Amino acid sequence: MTAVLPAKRPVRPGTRDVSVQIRPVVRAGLGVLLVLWILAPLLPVVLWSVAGVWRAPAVTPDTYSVNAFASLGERATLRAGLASLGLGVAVAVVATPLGFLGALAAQSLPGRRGRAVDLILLAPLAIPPFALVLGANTTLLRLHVPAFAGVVLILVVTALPYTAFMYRSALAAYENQFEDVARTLGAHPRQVIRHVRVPLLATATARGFFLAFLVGWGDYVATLLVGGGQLTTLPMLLGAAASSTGNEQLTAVLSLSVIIPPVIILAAFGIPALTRKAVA
Amino acid sequence: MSSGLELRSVSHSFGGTDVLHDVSLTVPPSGCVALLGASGSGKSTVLRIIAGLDRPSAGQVLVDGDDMGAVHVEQRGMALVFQNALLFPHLNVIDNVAFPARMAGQRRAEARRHAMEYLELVQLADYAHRPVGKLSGGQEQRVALARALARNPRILLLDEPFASLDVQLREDMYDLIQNIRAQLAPTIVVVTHDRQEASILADSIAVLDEGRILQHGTVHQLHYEPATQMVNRLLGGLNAVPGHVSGGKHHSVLGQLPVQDTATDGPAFLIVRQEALRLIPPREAGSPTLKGSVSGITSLGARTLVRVSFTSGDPNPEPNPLAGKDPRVADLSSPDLSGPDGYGNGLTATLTVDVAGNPHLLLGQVVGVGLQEGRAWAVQA
Repeated sequence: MTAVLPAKRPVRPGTRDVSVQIRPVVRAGLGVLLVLWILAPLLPVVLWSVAGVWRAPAVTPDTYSVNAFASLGERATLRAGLASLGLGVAVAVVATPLGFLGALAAQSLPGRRGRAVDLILLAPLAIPPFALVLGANTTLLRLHVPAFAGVVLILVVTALPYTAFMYRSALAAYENQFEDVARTLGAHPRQVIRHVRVPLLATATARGFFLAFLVGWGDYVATLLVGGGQLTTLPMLLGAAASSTGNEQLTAVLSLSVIIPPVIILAAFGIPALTRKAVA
Repeated sequence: MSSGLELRSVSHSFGGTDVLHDVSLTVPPSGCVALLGASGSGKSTVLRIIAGLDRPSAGQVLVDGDDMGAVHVEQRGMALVFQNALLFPHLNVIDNVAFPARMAGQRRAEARRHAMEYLELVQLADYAHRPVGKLSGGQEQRVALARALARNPRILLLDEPFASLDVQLREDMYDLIQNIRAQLAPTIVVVTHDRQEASILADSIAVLDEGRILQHGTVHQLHYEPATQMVNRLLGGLNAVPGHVSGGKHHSVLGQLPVQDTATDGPAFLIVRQEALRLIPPREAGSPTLKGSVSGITSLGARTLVRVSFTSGDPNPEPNPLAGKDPRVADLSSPDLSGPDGYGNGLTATLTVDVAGNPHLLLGQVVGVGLQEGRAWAVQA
């Protein structure tokens, strides 16, 4: 039997294949669409934050005002911002090393035992936070766990899959022979950790820390149910503003106050890294 | 400062599987020994045990007579270069080379000054401040070598360091190693599966197979006087003719051939390097020859491997003028088929001859084969 191969489309000498020319254009177009898809939901929030009057069915605000931004300087908002910052940092500080240890265990244990650890680490992703919190809040109350510590405890469980996943990927690519080389070059075990392991896992640590920080920074459900009103964070203020009518401008400004700081952090660390890669 | 290294009856097992059996090896100060073996033969494990990265199940590693059993890796004064350069990606070239000095507590500036000397040695001083990600494969290995040397190791361990480099770069690295040996005279143990690399770099070669050292000797001994057929094969020997030894001669389809005095009587392979054979023009007089027919031709570029088949029933009409006069030369013209194995008519043997250039032969063509130096060696079957 003779196989019939599809005829290859001839390309005139001296001209480039059209598909080759189109490919970058399609790629750029898809990239722009993706960025728009991410940014589009932010547009109404940004417009509401500077809207003085905005009546339906107008597509854009009737008048503009920045009055609502004054609320960001208020004592209660600043205190809520600090509480969010503290919660985010506390969750990240606890979840990052735990994620590392979990990923290390999953990698070190052979076969099924390693996969079981993986499953346990990723399980919180499958549990709705609401269900997790409702199950735990009464126990935390009975044990007299302070509100802040209780919220951190719950959110660490939620953040653990992200930090563990970051380290799992990093450790999979991590070459143990780096440590062997360092030891033969005279580094004792502590120096190996400080001068080799920590720098080589720095990117995964930064990413894991950031994701865990976001879990604490943006949490509403656990703070509301476990914090029981004793812990006021930015999302709590946002929730309160959003639950009443006529506060659209304040709600939008508070939304931006929750969104913008992590984006600035991401840009501060991400853009130099991208530039370095491009230069390299 | 270089040191002598000795392995005494080192054995090692992983999860119940023995990977090294009673390995003993001596490397003199400033000497270079190559551990040659196929993948999985245990050669890298030997290196890891010497470095202290793995602990042997039994046996001792001695440096200048001192047992290293209780000495930690970082205190052994050795340096290891792997197949992958494993340059620390968060450090630039000079800081990679300065790493050993930094670990020893030197200040950054001082460590960098020290590192620069070694970068100059490997001719990469101009690359000192480059990120390691911008180096080529050959440059990475040079930096890895400089970093290992900057440790001032008593013993330098090289684990297939040039295996991933192309031929030209590998030759440059061989020159560099010779230069380093001339300048610093370190004791070197190099692991390789490349017999040519082992022969170029090392003073002696230890052949490892299935966790055992089959033979440790000079490059010449390994090639022309192998201890076993496996050593011959690992060193690239293509000829092993079955037969038997009696009275200091090997008897086979090829006839009688004087072999080494130490050969014991009994079944044995006749080992003749393909480089020690030559094709002899039909009318060349005075050469001990055996006539056979060309059964295969493989071009290696500048050289050609010619396989010549011999059948025990073939007449060898040309008398050997040297037979009986020079004990080193085979009496190839009068095969003695009376041995215990009974090599009768119809049995065949094949010899491969390494020939320079293109011999312009045809398959089936009758040619004469002679020994260049009368070198033949028998190993127990």
